[in-house]
Amino acid sequence: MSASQRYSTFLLNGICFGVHVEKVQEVLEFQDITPIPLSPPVLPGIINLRGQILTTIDLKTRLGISAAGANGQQMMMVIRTSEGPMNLLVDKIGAVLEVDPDLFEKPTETLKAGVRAVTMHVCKLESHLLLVLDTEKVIQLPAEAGSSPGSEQPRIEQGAR
Amino acid sequence: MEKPYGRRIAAAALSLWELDVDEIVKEFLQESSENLDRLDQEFVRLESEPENRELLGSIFRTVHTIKGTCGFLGFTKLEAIAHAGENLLSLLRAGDLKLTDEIADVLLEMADAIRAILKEIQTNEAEGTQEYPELVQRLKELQGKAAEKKAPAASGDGKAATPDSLPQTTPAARQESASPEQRSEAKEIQSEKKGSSRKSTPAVVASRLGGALVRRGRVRAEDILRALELQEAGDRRRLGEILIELGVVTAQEVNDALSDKKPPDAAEAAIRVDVNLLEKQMNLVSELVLLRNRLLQIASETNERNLNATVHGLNYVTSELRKNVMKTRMQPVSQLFDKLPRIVRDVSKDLGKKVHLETQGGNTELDKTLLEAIKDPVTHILRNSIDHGVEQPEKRKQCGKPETGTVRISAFHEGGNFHLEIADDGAGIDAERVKQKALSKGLITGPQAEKMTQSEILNLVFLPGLSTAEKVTNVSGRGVGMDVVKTNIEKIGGKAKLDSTKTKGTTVSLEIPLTLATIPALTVISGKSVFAIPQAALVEMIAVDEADSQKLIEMIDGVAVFRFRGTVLPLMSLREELKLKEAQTGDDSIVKLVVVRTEGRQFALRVDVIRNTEEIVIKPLDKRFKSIALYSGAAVLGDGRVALILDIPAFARRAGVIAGREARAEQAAEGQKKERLTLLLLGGSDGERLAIPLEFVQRLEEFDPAARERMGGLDVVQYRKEILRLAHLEDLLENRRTAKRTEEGLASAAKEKISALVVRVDASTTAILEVPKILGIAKVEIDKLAPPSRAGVRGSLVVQERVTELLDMPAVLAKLRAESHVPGVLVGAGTEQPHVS
Repeated sequence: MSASQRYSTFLLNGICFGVHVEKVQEVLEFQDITPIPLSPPVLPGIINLRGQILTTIDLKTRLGISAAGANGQQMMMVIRTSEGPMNLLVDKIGAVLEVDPDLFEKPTETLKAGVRAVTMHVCKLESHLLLVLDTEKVIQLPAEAGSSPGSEQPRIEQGAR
Repeated sequence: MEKPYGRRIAAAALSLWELDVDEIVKEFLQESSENLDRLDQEFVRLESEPENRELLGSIFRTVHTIKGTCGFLGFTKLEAIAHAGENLLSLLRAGDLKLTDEIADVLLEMADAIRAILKEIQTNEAEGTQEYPELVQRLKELQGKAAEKKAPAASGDGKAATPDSLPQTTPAARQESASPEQRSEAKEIQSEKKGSSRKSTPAVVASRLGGALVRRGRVRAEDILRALELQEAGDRRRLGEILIELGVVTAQEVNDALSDKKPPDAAEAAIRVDVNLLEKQMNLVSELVLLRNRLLQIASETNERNLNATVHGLNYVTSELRKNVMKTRMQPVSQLFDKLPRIVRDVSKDLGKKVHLETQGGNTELDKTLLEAIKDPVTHILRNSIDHGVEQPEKRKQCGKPETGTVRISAFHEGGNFHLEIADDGAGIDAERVKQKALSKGLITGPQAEKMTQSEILNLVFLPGLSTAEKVTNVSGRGVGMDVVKTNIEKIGGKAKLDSTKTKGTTVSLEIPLTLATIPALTVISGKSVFAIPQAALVEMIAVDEADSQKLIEMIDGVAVFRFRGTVLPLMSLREELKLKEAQTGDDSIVKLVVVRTEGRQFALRVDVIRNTEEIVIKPLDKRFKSIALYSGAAVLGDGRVALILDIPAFARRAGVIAGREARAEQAAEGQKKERLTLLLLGGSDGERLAIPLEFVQRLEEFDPAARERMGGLDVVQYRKEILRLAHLEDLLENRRTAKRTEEGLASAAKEKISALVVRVDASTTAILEVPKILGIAKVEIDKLAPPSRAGVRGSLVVQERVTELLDMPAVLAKLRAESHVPGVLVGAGTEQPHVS
């Protein structure tokens, strides 16, 4: 039996998601997001975290989960990624759960495609399911979500460096 | 000031076991690399002044120092090369050998070899496996040649010269046995002496000993001169011995003087600091500036007197600190300039060209990282100038130019930016060929090519894949370079621009921010968001009463233009461009406009509120926002809010002020037929409608009929201190009823003001185009034009429900140019400018 792992959990539209605690830098109360005009809805803007500018990803939009169901103020979870800290917008922050990796299962086909693409493990807990997200995949926005409706011309990449 | 290396190391040798040898090696490497850079420069200079003894002396000393030190540190290979070089140099210095191309080549090769070995030592702590037997052999062979020639060469040299005629060099050169330290000291004292009012006897300061004795007031300069004369006459004794013999000093005094410590000089008042440390410091100071800004904001909201006073103190100290930290990172651009003569020499020699390099403004300072960043681009541009710009000597002769081409590099500060211009007097760039090439490569389309200005066409050379060099040389011409130059310059927030006149030469101008750390910016609000506009792009801020704005801002067909000092500027609303949905902030009875400039073109941005100017720290924006392409970064403001920094060139492209590079490339790729044009609509005298693409119009003007003057059978007006040709547009078109204009038109023209467009005929010529009536402006998309019915017209289309002839402006301007050419004559001082409304 392998050692249990700790996951920070949060809710999106009542569904419980988790990311490995080591990937979480901090959890923030909702603070002002500076919108970036013409950016797609998945990127509501940037925040100023102690002088550092962080990009915010609206996780519900990212995963294709309906925006409805959020009661009250959303919260923020700053995660550590290969591209530096990123800010995720979530409905509610949950507890840190200790999970036995033996309970991990592969994401099933029945999961919505948007969710399945970024889910590493599904874990059946006593009362509910926990979907463990792959943060590196979460921050890679699919092409259509990343492109901006405002820019009329797709940008031509200037060759590899 | 050079450092007497060998001497210091030798002293260190005494207590070597207590010393960190690595430290010595490190210091040796650092100084040697500085010395080598100077060496390169001096060799190149030497080629033009082969007789310059001072120069030869300096070169000799540098090589000697390297040799001495590496012998001491056990770098035998290095020592062998330096030794061979030193021997050759000593012959040159003694005048036994004349500098030839061959010798210069070998010596430069020696410098390269030394540099290569030093690099090897730096990375691997050993000399490496590369052997240089041939180089050493050649160095020795050339010495052999000197021996053959020695008899004739030696006769006419320095020995005949009196100290007066060769004041600076002869004594130093004579002091063969003196250590480098003595010589450097000599130089120092010389300059000291030069500064004093006392008439100095140059030879006095020949040696360190002499200098020290004079400085101590033990000996008169004349005595030392006498001693030197004795030495010259063949006295083999050392200076001190002679002086004691002459009875002017005691042995004790000589010994004291010899052990005299060097006075602290400028070099010792400076220390070396790790660049990373400075970098860190700079970042911390940037953060401090931000915190201070926040604190200022908070303090201004309270009435705490103590807090306010303290914050003001903090404000001052922070500003000073920031200024000083920035200063520590500033480096004179001469550091870069010093490396260039060698490149010019090598490249021009390679290509069989003669090129003279002139540098100006070497003491202009620039942030170290930026200086580092422009090194490659500048080198590349320089290579290009020599390769493509400067012609072969024969060709230059044919063109009536001096055989030797000149590349002038000048640096200066202007408008808070660092500017660098690299100008050659070579063949220039043929805009037509650039255009054809760009067309053939599909980088631009035909219609685009037509509406591009000369300058825009020339600047196509910065596009990837465009090289106009007929053949690819190993120096340049592979069509990658200029693109990389521009990319690298833009990466550090700079701009690259090219201007060229065929047969006259090419100038590449770089504009670089002084520092990357913070930039002054204007902050504005639109909707609820704060935006920052870099001060560098800012021209003017204007607030107009809503009522008055009607006159200044014209909305024609949904296209807004703004009349600004006689110019018509495209006007964009930030709120509309960014599709901001929030309600307008601030007082909407006043229209606020910010006039900005990019690449020489201006346009206006309408904003809700003009906030203030702030020093902002640019933070890059996540690559996920790159596709929007309207922001160049973000910044945290004093109040903790985040502002987006507007990418003004991108907005300009959006406004159609400058033809966008992406747009061009993409349209070419898609073969897009639709052409978007902003047209100036004119009413012809015959009731017809004409349209001119707005980009051909520099300004709209009105002239008093009295301003029309005659010169050489042509109409001219005085405009901005120039005499410009005044031509009637309809005269340039094939006109069917010309008579009408000539009779009625002229009759009414005598009373009414003349409506006119200022147009650029070519890069150097401006003309005034008289037009019948200006109706307004329209933005149109053209996919098909009805065929033209007369010359000077591209075709017709329907604009605002009227049939309108779209003028073929390149053709019209060509006709104007062909018909007449009024040279740009300056109107003499005191002449009244024409009345311009």
